[in-house]
Amino acid sequence: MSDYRPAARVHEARDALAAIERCYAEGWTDGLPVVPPTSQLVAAAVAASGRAPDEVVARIAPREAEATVEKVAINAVMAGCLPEYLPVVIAAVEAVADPVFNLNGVQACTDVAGILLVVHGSIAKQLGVNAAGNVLGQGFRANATIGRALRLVLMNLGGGIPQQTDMSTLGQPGKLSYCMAENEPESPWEPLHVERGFAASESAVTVFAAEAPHAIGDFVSSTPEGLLDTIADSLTTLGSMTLYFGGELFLVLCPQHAAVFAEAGWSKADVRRHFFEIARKPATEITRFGLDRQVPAHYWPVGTDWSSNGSVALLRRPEDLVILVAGGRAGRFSAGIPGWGYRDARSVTRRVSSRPEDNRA
Amino acid sequence: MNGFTFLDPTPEVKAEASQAVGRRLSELAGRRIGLFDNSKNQGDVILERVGELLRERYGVATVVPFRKPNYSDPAADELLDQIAAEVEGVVFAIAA
Repeated sequence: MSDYRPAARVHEARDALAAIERCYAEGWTDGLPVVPPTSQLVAAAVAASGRAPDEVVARIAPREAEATVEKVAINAVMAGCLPEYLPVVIAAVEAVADPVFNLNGVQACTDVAGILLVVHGSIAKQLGVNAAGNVLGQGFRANATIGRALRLVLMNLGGGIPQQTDMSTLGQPGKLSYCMAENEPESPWEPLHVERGFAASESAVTVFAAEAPHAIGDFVSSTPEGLLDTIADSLTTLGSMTLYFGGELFLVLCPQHAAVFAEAGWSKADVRRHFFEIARKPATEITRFGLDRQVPAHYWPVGTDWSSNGSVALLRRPEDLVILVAGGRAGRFSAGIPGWGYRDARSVTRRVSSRPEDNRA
Repeated sequence: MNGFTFLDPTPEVKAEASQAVGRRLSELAGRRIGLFDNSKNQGDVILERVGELLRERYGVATVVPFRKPNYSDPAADELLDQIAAEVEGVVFAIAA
């Protein structure tokens, strides 16, 4: 490690505390102090990535600058990542650079989008990514730092700077970090990455441009119909961007809510189909203050009935409801996480390529 | 030498160098100018007025409308090629 020769410019400081302040002064942080990325720390992170330091992972919008493995490692170290987190961070960077994700739009828009990062498979367990109680909150190094590393890459390499290029009106707390795993033992179904064609133990990440979680409490419903009535009503709102722009909506079901569907023998497809049918907004509610004109006319589904009998489905397609199971066994709060699914932008699931010896099931 | 060193998290090569800026027109009289509507509400209204003013005040010969159907996605390469082929300059606005 002592003979690692970085390609990056080297900065000097009096000591580590001074380096932390220097990073603040340069605008390289998310507002929280960063771990100064010493050559030694970065070398360890690069080594754990299993890749060459000068390999280009992706070009990051809006600046379209090259994110090399070394540059990603520098930002991951600043975020507080352990070296073994690097393959996940790299996969997340590759995933957001997929054209279908439309990172340029996400980085620039006035919307409240953060980037939800879901870690799947062996590596989630291996790294201790929290999938249980407080899954979307604080307290777990992997969750907090992997999500943070992605944001630092988007800022420092992508140039997504608040009030300059990132014109988000409000932002949201998930822009600091927004990283989770599925609570697979508590799920009656196959997890998301298996739905998307990966083997259960195969490591992968999903990235999703997403709002903050919308809490859905239901302590009473013991039937799928009752629970979905609550969930659909909670999410089919006049302020929902999904209603106007389409795109995906992630539903994070807590274990107790997932059990309601399990006990009735409902599959994910059953849940999607029923949700799609009932999650509808009467046309008159949309038109009463002119919200139908909020988007160009061709954004609405063909054949939309705007009469007093008509209604508009929240989702353009049942498949747009993406179902995850996560959280603690105590409590009956699930969360709807609407996406920045403007038109054709989609979530992306990408394999984590780590060295074979790291992938212990 | 100071005791503590650390690495720079930002790009080494300025990305601006990889994208050339188009030549600017020195005058507008007699030109063909494009008006690029990104489909945001009432952008077409503003652009139409801009087109009128370009002809009335600056002697632009012809204005040509262009449109991309979704304001959140980048313009398709074919559309950009078409604009470059048909007009000498283009007005494009970004609005919330």
